[in-house]
Amino acid sequence: MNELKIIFAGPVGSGKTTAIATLSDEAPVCTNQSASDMTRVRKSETTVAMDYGTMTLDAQEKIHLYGTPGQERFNFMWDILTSNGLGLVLLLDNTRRDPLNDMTFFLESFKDYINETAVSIGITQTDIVPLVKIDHYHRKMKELGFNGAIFEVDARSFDDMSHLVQALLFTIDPGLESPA
Amino acid sequence: MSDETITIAFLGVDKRSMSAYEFFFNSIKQIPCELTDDISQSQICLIDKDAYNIQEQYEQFKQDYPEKFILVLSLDDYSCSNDKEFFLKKPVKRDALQATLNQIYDLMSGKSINIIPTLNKTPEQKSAITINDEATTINDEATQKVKINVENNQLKFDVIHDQTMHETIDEINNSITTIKQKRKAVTAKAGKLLKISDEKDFVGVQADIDINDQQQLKKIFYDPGKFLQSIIEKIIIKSRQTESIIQLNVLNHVFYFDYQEQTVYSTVGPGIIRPLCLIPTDHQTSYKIKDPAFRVELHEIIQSNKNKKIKKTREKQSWNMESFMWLITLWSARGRLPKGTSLTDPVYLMQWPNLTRLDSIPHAVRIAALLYEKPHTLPDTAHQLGIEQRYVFAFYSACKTIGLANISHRQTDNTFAPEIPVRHKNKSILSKLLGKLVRFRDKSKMTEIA
Repeated sequence: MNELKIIFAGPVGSGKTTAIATLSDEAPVCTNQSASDMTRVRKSETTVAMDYGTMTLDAQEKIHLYGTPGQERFNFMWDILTSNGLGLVLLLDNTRRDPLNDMTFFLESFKDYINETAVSIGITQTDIVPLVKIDHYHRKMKELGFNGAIFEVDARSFDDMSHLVQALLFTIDPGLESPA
Repeated sequence: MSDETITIAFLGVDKRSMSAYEFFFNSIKQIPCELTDDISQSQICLIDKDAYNIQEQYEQFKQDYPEKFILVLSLDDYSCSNDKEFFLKKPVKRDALQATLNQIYDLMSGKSINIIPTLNKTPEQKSAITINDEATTINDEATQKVKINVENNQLKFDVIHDQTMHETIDEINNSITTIKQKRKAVTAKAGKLLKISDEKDFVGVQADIDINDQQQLKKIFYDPGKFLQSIIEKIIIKSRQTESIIQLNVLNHVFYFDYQEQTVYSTVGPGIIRPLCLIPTDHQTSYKIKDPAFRVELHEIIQSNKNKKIKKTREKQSWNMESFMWLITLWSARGRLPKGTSLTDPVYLMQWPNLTRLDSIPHAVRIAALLYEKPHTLPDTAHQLGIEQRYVFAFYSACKTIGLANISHRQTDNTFAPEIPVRHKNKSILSKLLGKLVRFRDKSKMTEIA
């Protein structure tokens, strides 16, 4: 069984839960539910966990979608989650006080992972607060020494999220072709 | 519980964080880990030193269970007080966490074991490699070969089966021989994602040309200066310079350009504007700088138009300025290039266009990824991606108009021969994922924001 992960990161309220729900084949579940199969002794079942969804490609292959907890205080676990990851989808909420600072924080936090894989960035809520423009994100990204696609997205739109993941895939391998 | 199992409890660790650790511990097959809510039953306690009010609980724990191992996590530096205490500074790296667990395990069991991450390894791979402190032993059976790479000062092992190697070579050979047919099929399939009329309007129908044939070259260039496209570009500059709304009259139709708000409004929809892009403008246009107070009136007009659009499904009449220029260029260029564009110099893409808010061109994401990675000539871009030139030309023309692409004049970009795009090791699974994303592209799946 060939299984790969896409990690969804971003601050609280940036749309990670919705994005995973939009892309996932089935209703997203918590990782503690899936992990419980493997754990020998269970702790209490009240655990609130990461967002998790899957995209089944065929009987043998599946893409796992993991949402990291958004709060900065959880950043110490991010490295643990990214093992065998395909790439990072970073969602940023344009209505936050300093979304460019959010971008800096997350790109720096996932620096090693991004360098090994790829990143694509979705900016949400641009229709509500358009003060920070997409060009500002591009400039900041370049300043920080990262490369990748940045799109305005609505995490509820499959088309938007599809574009974001396609950009991630083509950044990894521009020669990729969908099966005929 | 077996004798070799480590029982771990958490103190001051958030429940969501626990799930992440649980996920991680399950991936370490060499050391079976059990998680428990009961601290008294644990052998190791993992403590988040940054948690609110944790210090008192921590001191109490040390006092009640001096025999237990403690793994302290903190953003701040910390000095361990005894040999049962271990410290990891946040953000915790998985290698460091594995190494620390290994160390504790050694102390607990008196055994020596090194942990190899086992995520997604086959049983054959697991049994084939054993790593000890002193030596690396590789079980190289007749059916297996091990490729060792040194990357970033770390050894990486790839177990290769001979059979798999042969299959891989066959697969590559097959891919090479069939790639042209496959690409054509993919191109045709992608083209069908747009309505045929839209595709013609956006990328035309021009077949690929031989760039060395002067007669054919004439077919792929157009002169924006003769069409509405260049007038609109000038009006936008005027709106920026004067910080005013500019009214543009084209034949009997009116457009308003507001650079400050990055908005374009027209009294007609795409059904009228598209043909206007194809008619040489001559002197049939005029413009007027509007009074600043007109902005309020324009807002009302746009809002009113939006409401009408909802009620009567009327054509779109207001656009974001960038989206409008993108659209106008596609309609004008129809898969051609602005006159004077070099076909032999590499072109570069400064940044990805905002493709989720711009009208779709087939293969736009692929073209953007390739050109953003490094400059390529336009014909080479089409060749490398196995797509028709008109898609690349349309994409470049639109990107150039909105200021994202241009010809590279750096000598170094001409020095290096075009490279074949790097193939990812999981190309097959990535292709399947791509296929799934493209197949369901039209799926209108809107979920509530959680």
